[in-house]
Amino acid sequence: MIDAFILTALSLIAIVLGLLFIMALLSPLEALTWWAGWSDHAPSPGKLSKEAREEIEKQEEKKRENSPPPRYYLVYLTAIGGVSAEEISHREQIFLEKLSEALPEAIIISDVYPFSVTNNPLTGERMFGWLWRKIHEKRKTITGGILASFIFARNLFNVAVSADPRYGPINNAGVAREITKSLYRHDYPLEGDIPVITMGWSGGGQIAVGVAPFLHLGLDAPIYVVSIGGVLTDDPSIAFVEHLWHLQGSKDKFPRIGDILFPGRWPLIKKSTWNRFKRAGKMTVIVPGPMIHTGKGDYFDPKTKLSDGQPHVEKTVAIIRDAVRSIQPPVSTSLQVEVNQPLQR
Amino acid sequence: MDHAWNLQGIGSRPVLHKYARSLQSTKHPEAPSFLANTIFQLETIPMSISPELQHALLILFLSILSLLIGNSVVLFANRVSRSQFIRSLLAFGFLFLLSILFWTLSVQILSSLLFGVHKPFEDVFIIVSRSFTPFILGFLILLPHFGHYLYALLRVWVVINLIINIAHAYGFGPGQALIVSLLGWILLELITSLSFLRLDTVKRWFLKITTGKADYRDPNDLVMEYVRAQRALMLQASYKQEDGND
Repeated sequence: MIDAFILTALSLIAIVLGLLFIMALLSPLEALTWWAGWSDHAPSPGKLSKEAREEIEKQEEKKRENSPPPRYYLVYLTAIGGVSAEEISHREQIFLEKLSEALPEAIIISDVYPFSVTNNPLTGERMFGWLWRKIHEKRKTITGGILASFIFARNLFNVAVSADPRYGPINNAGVAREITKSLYRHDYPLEGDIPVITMGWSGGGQIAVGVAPFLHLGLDAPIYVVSIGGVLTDDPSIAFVEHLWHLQGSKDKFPRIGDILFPGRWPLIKKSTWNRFKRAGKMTVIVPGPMIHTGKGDYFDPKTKLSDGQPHVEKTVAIIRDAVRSIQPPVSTSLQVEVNQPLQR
Repeated sequence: MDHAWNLQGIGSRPVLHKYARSLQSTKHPEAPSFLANTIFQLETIPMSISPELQHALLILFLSILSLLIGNSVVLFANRVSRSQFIRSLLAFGFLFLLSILFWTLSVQILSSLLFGVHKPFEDVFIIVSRSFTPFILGFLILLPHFGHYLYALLRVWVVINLIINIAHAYGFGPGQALIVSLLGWILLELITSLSFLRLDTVKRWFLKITTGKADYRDPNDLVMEYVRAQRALMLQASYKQEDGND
């Protein structure tokens, strides 16, 4: 009886490990096949998409309206538990509302799913979309909760893809393209210049750093990053970040995974981009309080309070507000001058 | 017409046997004689591929295929089509096979010249091919983050394998085996970097005619170029729009 139980348990573990292994092995394919043009919404080098042309026309109309642009654009990227940009947790929604109130001079964007190069939700039109939908629907049950680990695993592998020097540029360029589209949808000016702050929670932190070079080049904007318990890697994309604020609760152990797994973050590798970035004073680590990574008592918890009575979410919002307001506006470049620049390169 | 065909010994190959007989019974045997002769010549040739060589070829085939799949990111990055992808795998596989043949030749020549031990090319080829067994796991290079560490590990494993296999087969000490294995590799690197041999041009020509692409560029450069070009296009379009409005 016990033998049969052990055998069944071992078989189940082997199946789960096998599935995870296959998921890991196939994880770069979404980005690679998209870039190679084997899937829908492939990039088309050398020509502008219809969306981009429409955006330019819209921008011209906006210019005539003469409305003042916002001072900052914040892009929120959810954690590895997310299945889409729309279906974020209630706590995240509260956080975003409060942040919006705290920063009326900023536009906050949260419609980009960071674990897809085409902003395609896990539950959207994709080969195993039906499976992810089923798992997501049953998430609140015990069985569904266990199965939801596959969502975490799938997105965790996507974070690894983003950090991998072979796949990272392709994956991150895809996500950056979606962020760029969203920024333009939210009237980000074509001239650029307005600071863009990518905010990532957990695995979203790596994506927030990974997209920096492509946003910087694609928008001609200074890029800042706010990492909320972010699992950051040694991605050299950090060189394109003006400043990084890393919030790490004293009870949150997850961000430390990056310290161990990524050699570029080891203090021993002094010439790594990460260590040079740190030495340049471009990184601020903030301990907001005894926050955990996720769940009750995390960064967005509106109920759990600090010793001074401030709810966790309020503290997180206050830190981000102060960080964002410390950003100096860049010197504006003329559109006319910039038009010829890329052609001369 | 001499039809002194020896039909003995081909009973185990019924299809060819039957076909050969049908050719024999034809009213005009001179017409298909060339084909029939060829078949019978092939049939009467003793199997020259030893089981060891077959085994080595299988290892090599699986290793090359697995390794190429593991390293296929460069093909995706260069935006190859599905058919180009297959052709590129075959072309790169062929080039890889050439380098293995060269390595085999170098091991054979070096062991003979430096230590006076001569072995037939086939035996050395089997030794070298078997050393590539770890590359059967080459597809694991696809794994994000851990993939490139695994690749480094597999390469070290292959070199160690080769040294051990040569030491064992030739009865060499570790130092001698190291010299024979690595000198060949260094020689290969040297030859491929000699610009006057124009091997790079030959390789580019070969890739161009087989895959349609002569240059396989770094993914990061390609992506950066794409983003810059998109930005330039958008600004140009905007500038034109402004001009039009004025």
